[in-house]
Amino acid sequence: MATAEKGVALLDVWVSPFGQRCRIALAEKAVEYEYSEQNLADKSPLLLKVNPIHKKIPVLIHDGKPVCESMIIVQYIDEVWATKAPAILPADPYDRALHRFWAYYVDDKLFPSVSAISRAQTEEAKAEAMEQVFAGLKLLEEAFQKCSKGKGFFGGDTIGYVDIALGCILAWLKATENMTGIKFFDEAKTPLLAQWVERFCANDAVRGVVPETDKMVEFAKMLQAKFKAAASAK
Amino acid sequence: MAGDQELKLLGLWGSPFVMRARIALNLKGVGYEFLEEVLGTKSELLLKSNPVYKKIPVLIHNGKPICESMIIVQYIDEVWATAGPSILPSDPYDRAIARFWAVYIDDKLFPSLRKIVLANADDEETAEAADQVIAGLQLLEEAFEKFSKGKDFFGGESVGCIDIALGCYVGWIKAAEKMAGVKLLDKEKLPLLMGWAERFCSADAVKEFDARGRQAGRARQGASSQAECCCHQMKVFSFKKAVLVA
Repeated sequence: MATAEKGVALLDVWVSPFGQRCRIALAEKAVEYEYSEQNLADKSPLLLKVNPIHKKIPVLIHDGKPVCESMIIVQYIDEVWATKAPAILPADPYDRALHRFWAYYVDDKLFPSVSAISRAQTEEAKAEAMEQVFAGLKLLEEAFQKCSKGKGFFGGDTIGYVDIALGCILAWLKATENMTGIKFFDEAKTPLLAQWVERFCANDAVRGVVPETDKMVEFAKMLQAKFKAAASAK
Repeated sequence: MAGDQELKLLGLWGSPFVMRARIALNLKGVGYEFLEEVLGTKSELLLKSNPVYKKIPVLIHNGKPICESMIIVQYIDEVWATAGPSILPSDPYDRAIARFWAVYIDDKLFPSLRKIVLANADDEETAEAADQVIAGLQLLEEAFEKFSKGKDFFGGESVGCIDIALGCYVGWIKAAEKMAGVKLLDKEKLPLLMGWAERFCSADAVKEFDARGRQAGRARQGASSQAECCCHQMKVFSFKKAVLVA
């Protein structure tokens, strides 16, 4: 059915925060779709056909046509189902530019520093990676103030573009908090973000698609073991 | 409505990213004040307008800053939607594809191009980077065939999003070829892109940069394009983290 000429399909992997972005956007717009779990260790002919350049998930297939790159997919969903509330990107061009900027920042700076924590082989490397994450979250605290305009989400009253861009990593961060005891969203340091996290995770569209912390912890431990093995094999 | 408002662009004339914003403004026929940064320094206005990255270009519209070249291009397209041609296509699927290629060009093509410009000519890295650039351009040759639908540009009849994203690197590609002695835009392997590159550089919204570059080039070291000047300057200053990159 994922190859069907009509309908919506999502090629994805359950742990992927990038895939979660698409799932949240589809849930926000109440779009029905077929979810197709992929095996990245043994990529399907379909995945290789629809994303020949990067061979990565997520890929949204709409009426047989593939769309790649998570935030491009989110914008696509917002534009195709523009008549369905809520709007994911704001209407005002300046606000749109602001949201696009912060989503870009999340991918360009924040997520790489989060990954660096898992990959760190020494305590110093870990501490440095965490410093970078905290610095990034401080910037996002200010961004929240600007974007939310006093409301509950970056998108205002409803989940928007930056909420999706950033929120997809929360399951992973919760697992890391669980394993390390580090609190990423500290009420004392980033109060607005700390409250936003609760609000985001309690949202209906989000709850249905985000993996449980236990499963994430299991996955994170497996990944850490992999990194350790790779590092000692060098 | 969007007319007589205060519009400033912080930039450097050699920067391909700044060129993107300028081409977009030209396409829309919008006047602006160009504030040139000095290579090697960052003005107070730049630091204040882009505190996160401290990089150009920055568009300042009625005092409000917009950063990141392709975000600026989309902003210009949206604010001046009724002026000039549309930069992004109107169909959501075509828009997604245009955005995909813009990301690909910056994520994959530019880093390899930059390696050639900044690496030593004898370096093995240069040969590898050149291969990556050629492979990327090959994909774009196929993309051009698909999206131009027989017309002059990726955007069809007029310069569009992918044209702007890729076109700003044409000068750099030519400069890289000269500096590293590597053929990147090969007429035989990439005939469509060769034709497109000529048309892009001669397009109304673009040609002023080429001409200015040639003038500036003659005044400086006899280089034949602003991109060559820019690449030469970068080497002279040994700029690994160029102020130019945004």
